[in-house]
Amino acid sequence: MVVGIAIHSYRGGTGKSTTTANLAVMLALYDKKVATVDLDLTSPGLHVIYQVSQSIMKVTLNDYVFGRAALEDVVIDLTNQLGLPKGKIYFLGASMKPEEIAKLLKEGYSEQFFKEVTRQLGEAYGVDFVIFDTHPGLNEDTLLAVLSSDVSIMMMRMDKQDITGTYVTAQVLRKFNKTSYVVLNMVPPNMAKAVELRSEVSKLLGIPVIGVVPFYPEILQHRSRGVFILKHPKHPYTLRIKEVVEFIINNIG
Amino acid sequence: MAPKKHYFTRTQDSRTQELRKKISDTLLSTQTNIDEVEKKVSSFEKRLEEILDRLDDLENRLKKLEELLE
Repeated sequence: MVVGIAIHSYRGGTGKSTTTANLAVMLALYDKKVATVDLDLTSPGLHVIYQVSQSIMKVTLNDYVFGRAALEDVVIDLTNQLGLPKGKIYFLGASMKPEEIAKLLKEGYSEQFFKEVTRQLGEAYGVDFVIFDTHPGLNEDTLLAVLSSDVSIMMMRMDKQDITGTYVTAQVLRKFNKTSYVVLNMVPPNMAKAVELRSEVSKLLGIPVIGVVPFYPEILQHRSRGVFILKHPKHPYTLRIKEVVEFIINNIG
Repeated sequence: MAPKKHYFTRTQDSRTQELRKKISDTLLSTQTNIDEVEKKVSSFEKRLEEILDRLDDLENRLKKLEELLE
């Protein structure tokens, strides 16, 4: 069975794409086959972290969405490029061309897209997980991606704007009985030490917190040049990502 | 024989637009009491501050204890 996971947040800049790429690679290191789909409509960026240039992406997810290309022409197998000893990483990149972004924004995703791309990725590549890196906010298309996935993981930073927005988003998702989890990202280091943090946030949002990732300046210094955990396998960030992945494998996969 | 390729076909069939309609209806009909939301978030932040203060206090005491033991 293929599990669809939507990585979502209320605001931009919460680290969705970085987390998506690192979670996917960690899942692969657990011998899983993972497809990552860049659904960040207005500002696709997952390809930067994977170091795939847009000029190599002759065919993009946008072509598949509008029936102009087959799935097999869009999917890029990154397993060898990333030097993974096991598992598989596939990537479906979105176009950065303004005209393509505008078309997708205007017409929107059709409802069956999410189920269909997940099913086809399972059939053609035998993937275990499809991770959708979504556009932030509470717009219809993003909610369509979140609600069409099996599970939603919301990224949240510990600032008032984000906490308030995530609280409102959690209330909306509750109306749909959506299985959701929260990962706290870029948490101030002193706050990350508080053992009560998870339970307090879970209590506020009514959603389990499955990861607390402190702010590490090394992530910023890395400047999205490659997948961080591959270059820093012993860094505390890598251990935090491992913890989230173990939760996913044991409880979602 | 070449392996079968997978294409996606967009349909505008009303049966496949049910979730989108439900999302739209839900968002439009949501009556958010923003005062209530802000109250809850503020009280959460207050609890968090208390926890952090306790943690700071604990760390300071530990530091003093370490200094005494040196």
